[in-house]
Amino acid sequence: MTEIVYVKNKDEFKEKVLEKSKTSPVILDFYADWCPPCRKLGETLTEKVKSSNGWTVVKVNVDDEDVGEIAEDHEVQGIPAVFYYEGGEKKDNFVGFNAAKLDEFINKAASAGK
Amino acid sequence: MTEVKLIDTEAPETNHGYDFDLMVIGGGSGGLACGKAAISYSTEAKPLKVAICDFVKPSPPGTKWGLGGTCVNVGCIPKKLMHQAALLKEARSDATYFGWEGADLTHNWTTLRDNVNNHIKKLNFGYRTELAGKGIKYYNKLAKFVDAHTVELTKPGQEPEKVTARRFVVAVGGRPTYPDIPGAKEYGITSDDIFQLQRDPGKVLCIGASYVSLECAGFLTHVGKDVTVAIRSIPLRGFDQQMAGLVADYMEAHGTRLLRQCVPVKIEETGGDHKYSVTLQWPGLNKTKVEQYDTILFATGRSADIPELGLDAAGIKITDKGKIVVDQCERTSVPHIYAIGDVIEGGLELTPVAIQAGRQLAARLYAGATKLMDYINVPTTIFTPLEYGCVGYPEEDAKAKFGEDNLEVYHTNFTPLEWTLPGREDTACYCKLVCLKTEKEKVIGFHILSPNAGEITQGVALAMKLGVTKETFDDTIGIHPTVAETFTTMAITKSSGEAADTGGGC
Repeated sequence: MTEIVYVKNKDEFKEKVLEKSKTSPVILDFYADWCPPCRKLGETLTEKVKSSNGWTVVKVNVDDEDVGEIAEDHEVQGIPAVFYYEGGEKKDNFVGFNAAKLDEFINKAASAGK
Repeated sequence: MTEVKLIDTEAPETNHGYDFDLMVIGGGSGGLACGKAAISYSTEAKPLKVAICDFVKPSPPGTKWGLGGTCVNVGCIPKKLMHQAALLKEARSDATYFGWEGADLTHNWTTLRDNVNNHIKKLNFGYRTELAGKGIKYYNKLAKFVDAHTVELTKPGQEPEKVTARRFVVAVGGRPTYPDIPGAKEYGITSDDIFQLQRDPGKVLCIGASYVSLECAGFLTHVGKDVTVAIRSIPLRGFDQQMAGLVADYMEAHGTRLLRQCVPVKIEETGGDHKYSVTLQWPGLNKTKVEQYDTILFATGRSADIPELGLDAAGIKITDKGKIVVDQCERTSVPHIYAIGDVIEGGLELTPVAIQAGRQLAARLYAGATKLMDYINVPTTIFTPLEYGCVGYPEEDAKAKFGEDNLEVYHTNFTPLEWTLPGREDTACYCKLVCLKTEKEKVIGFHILSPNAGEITQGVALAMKLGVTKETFDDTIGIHPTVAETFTTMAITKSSGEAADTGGGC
C-alpha cells in the first residue's frame, strides 16, 4: 500500500520528485497545516494513493525551515499548489482545491503506469 | 530656521556599487510597510533593489515565530482575537436576558490557541509570498552591521554572508524585558509566550500595570482563569489617570484580582509540572506573602532589540535607554541609515505609526515626497474587557501644558442600550472631552470607556485632526441608539460640580 511521502529539503526533493518521476509520475502538493482546502486535498490524495499502481504523492509543508527555495522555484503564491511531475519535469499544475484537476492528475498518473 | 535635508545625498542614487538600494532590517509593521512602499517606486528606467531581513531570536522559554513582527505574531493580532474570546463570554452571559436558553459555555484553551496561531501562520505565509511577488529579497537571517554600508547575515547552521546597501532602515522593534529578580527568566513568561502557550495557563499572575499586562489579564480572566495582577505603583502610566483608574476598577469588579503597590521579589519552583511559589512584597506596608501560581507573565516593559545589531560598527547613536536617536526625517546619526517603529527614541510604540512612518519615508526617499510624520493626535485603544479609547491629551497633561483655567472638561457616564436587559452596571461607561477655552473650546482630548471604544475613537481622531471644536460636536446629530452618540450631547462640565452619572435608580 503506497503512502504519502514528505519532503523536507532540496536533497530529498531531488531524489523523491525529480529522480523518481523519471520512472513513474509524481503528484507534488505544497500545503500548510492551517489551510483548510489543503486538508481536504490531502485527504483525497491519501485515499487515492493507497491503490496506486506506481505513482506517488509528495507533500511539502510550506512552513518547514528548509523548503523555501523549493517553493520559490515553483513560484508558490497560494496553496494548495499541486504539480504533475513526469520524466523529471513539471508538466502541469493548479492552485486551490480543484476537484476536477485533481481527478485529471490522478487518472493521468494511473494510466501512465499501465 | 535651518532647512531640513530630507534625504541623504552623500552617495549616488544609481550605479553606487552596493548590492541593494535599500536594506530593511526587521520585518515587522514598519519594516514591511517601508520595503513594500519602496519597491512600488521601482521602474524599468530606475529599478530599485530592495531587501528585508527578519529573524526572531527565541524567547527565554524558547518561543519563536514567523515573518510579520510583533503586532502580527505576539501583539495586536493574537491579543485582539483573544479579547474577542473574552467578549463572547460576556455576550453569552447577556444572551440569557435576550431569550437565549441552553447550557453555559465552557472554554478550551487549546482550541483558542491553535485557531489564533493558524491564522497567524497564514499571515506569515501571506507576507512571505507577497515579498516574493513584489521582487523583494527576503533574508530570514539575523543582521548585524560590520560597517556603515555592510551587514553580516547569520543563521544557526548556515554560513554567514555579507551584504551591502546604499541605504538602511532599522526597524527591529522591541522585546519584553525581564526584571532582575531570582527565578524571573527561568520560570516566568512574557507576551512573547502567552499566545502560543502549550499548556493551559491555569492560575495566572500578571506582573505590571501596562496595557500589555491589563489586556492579557483581562482576556485570561474572561476565558475562565484565576488571574491576579501585581501593580507596583499606578495603572497605565502615561495614560489619563482618571481613565486608567476606571479601567482597573472595572477589571476588579469583573473577576480580576488587583494587588496594588505590590512587587514580586522571588520566584521558585514548587516542584511538579509548572507550579511556582511567588514571594510578593508590599514595600509601603512592610508586608510579604508567598502565593502559588501556574503561570507568571511579566509585562513590566519592553526594550529596543538592539543587542547584536552592531550599532557601534555602523556609528549609530542610541540613548542611555537603548533607543535609536533619529531626527524628524527618521534619520539616525548616520546620514544613509534611517530608523522607524518601536526602536526609535521619541516615537509612539504603535503599529499604525510604524506603518505610516515606513511608507512616508519610502515616499521621501524614492518619490520626492516631503511629508514628515505627525505624532500629534494619534488615536489608540486599550483592549481591556471594557475598552478605553483615546486621542489627544490626557486631562492632567492638558492642565500642565495649558493651565486648568484655560480648560473646560465635559463628561458623562452612560449605559449602552444593550446593557439594560442584562442589568449591567450604569456607572462603568464614561466619556470626557477636554476642551481648550482659549481656542473656541477646541477638543484637545477625547477619552471613552465603553464597548467598541476603538471603532468609536477612530472617527473622533479624524475630527480632531481637523481641529474640531465642542460646538461642532454639539451641532453633529447623533446616531440613535448607539454609544457613540453620547459625545454629541455632552452638557455636564467638571467645573460645574454636577454629578456625571445619569442616576442610579429606576
